[in-house]
Amino acid sequence: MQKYILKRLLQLLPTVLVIVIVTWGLIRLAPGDPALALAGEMATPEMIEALRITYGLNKPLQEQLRIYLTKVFQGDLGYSLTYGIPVLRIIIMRLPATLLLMISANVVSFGIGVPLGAYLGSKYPSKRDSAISIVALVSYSVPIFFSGLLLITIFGFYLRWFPMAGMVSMLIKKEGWNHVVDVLWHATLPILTLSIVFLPQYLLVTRAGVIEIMQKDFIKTARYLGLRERSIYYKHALRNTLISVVTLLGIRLSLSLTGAIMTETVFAWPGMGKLLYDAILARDYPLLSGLFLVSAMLVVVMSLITDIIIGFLDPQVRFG
Amino acid sequence: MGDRLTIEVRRNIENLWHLISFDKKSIVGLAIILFLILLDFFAGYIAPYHPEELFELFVSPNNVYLMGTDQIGRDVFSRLLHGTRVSLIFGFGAGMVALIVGITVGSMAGYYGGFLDDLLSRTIEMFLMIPSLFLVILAVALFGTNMYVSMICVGLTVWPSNAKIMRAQVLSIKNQEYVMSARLIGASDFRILVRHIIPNAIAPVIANATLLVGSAILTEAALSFLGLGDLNNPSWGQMLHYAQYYIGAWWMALFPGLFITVTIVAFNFLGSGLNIALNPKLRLILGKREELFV
Repeated sequence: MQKYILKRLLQLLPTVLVIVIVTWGLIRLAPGDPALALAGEMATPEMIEALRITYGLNKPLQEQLRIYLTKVFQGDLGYSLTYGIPVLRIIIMRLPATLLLMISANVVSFGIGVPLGAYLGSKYPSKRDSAISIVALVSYSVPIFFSGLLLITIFGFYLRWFPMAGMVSMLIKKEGWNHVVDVLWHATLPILTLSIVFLPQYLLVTRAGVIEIMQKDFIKTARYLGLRERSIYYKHALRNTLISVVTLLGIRLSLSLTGAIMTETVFAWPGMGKLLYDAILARDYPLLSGLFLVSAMLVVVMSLITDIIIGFLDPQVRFG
Repeated sequence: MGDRLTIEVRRNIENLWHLISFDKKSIVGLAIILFLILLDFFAGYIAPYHPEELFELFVSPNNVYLMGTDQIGRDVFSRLLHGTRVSLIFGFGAGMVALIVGITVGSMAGYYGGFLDDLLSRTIEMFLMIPSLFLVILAVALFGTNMYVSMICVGLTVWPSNAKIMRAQVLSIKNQEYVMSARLIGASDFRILVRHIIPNAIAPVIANATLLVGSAILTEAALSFLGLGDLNNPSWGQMLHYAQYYIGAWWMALFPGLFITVTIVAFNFLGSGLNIALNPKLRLILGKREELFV
């Protein structure tokens, strides 16, 4: 197992390096003077000059790249143009709001999608199975910004059950338990919006997995041996489907940031997606490239974690 | 020679129809896609008004304005019809780029093997890690909102799944007898790939590319919704972008949103139907990470 983890780590290293270099290239591509871009609008000429020296912008390109790499591995991603504070600090400040949405939406979708998918898979082929899987395929195709707008219009604008935007009530400041309830109340529609897309994915993947496993020889063998259908299903089929579900969970969580862009923009939710959207509008290049780096790293780390979990679940992967 | 060609073409069409008619979903999907192409083609004749013509503001749907008018008084229905073109061009264009790059990289990796395969497979894995929507957004921020630039960007980020499938396909058929005999009579690598291997390996890649067309259309709509789309043409995403500022005018959001959804549903139906027809294990190829984002 350690050997397998080590192997995956070594395979990921070049990817990490390429991502960092691409990010550096993006900063270089940005129009204008990169020192100016890093310093922000409030900068005095002395500050810009100082930045030019610390980031080595007066040195040859490969030297600059070396310096950039060192900075990044020390956690220094430069300063945001709009906020005037270190990029990494803003990202960390905004992270919890995004995680709240993403984790809850995944928990809801996983909790409903996987059991329902497993049930439908065991009923395959049947009218009910094909009807629900078609509904799932349609629901999976609805763009988040459309379902979000619809939910806001119906439940926020006409029925007034839920707030139309934001994360906390503006007028009344709430403390303690009331604050938690307030945030959850604001989070309901965004979580629902995300679940409309996430749930069918868990459902379809689980269903497809169960259908495929049920055709396998070892299930037939178990049947011939006279094992009960229920135990075949829960002990063998579901466990083997877990691998594709875990892969999906890993992918979903690793794409949290990109997935958050649309939802957080529609609901004005103050997370990383909204941060990214505002950074585009303001052409805040250091923040943009910092976000790109962080989100790409998230994908890398999540894929490593997923691989490790799958390694535990599936001996074939571990020794293969 | 001409006869052989017609027979070959007819056989291909029959095979294709066989694949499509295997699953009802693909027929529905294909029908919707053809309908959309017709809509685009005849948009000028069907649309009651010019897409930029101005009338009264915020008229709710009635006999005169089937789907109402928008915030500056343009007819929503006419704009929707004219917006079909952007979605279709963007989707098919990006899908085409992804198809060409994916087939080239995948077949090279599978056919030559060895060091080249290692290198290309690493590249494929690396590209799989790059968040596609994010990269496109960055490109827009850097190079501006030209539709064709964004389209090529999307194509250049979503090809890895095509390449992976193509590679696996080539690996499984490159040692078959007809390829061997082509090699024995001295056909060049290029000829073997183009004439013998790719035509026989391409079907699952096309099924996957169909799903990618749907996700590219979604990406275009998402970009336009964020206000990062091309402002020169009316597009469905752009209409939704303005709709979010006028929540009470529900028709401004509902109809463009429905058009986008139906289009994406059509491509997902066709793509997953083709996958089911091609895959004897009936495995639904979902969980392709490119199309998971929005």
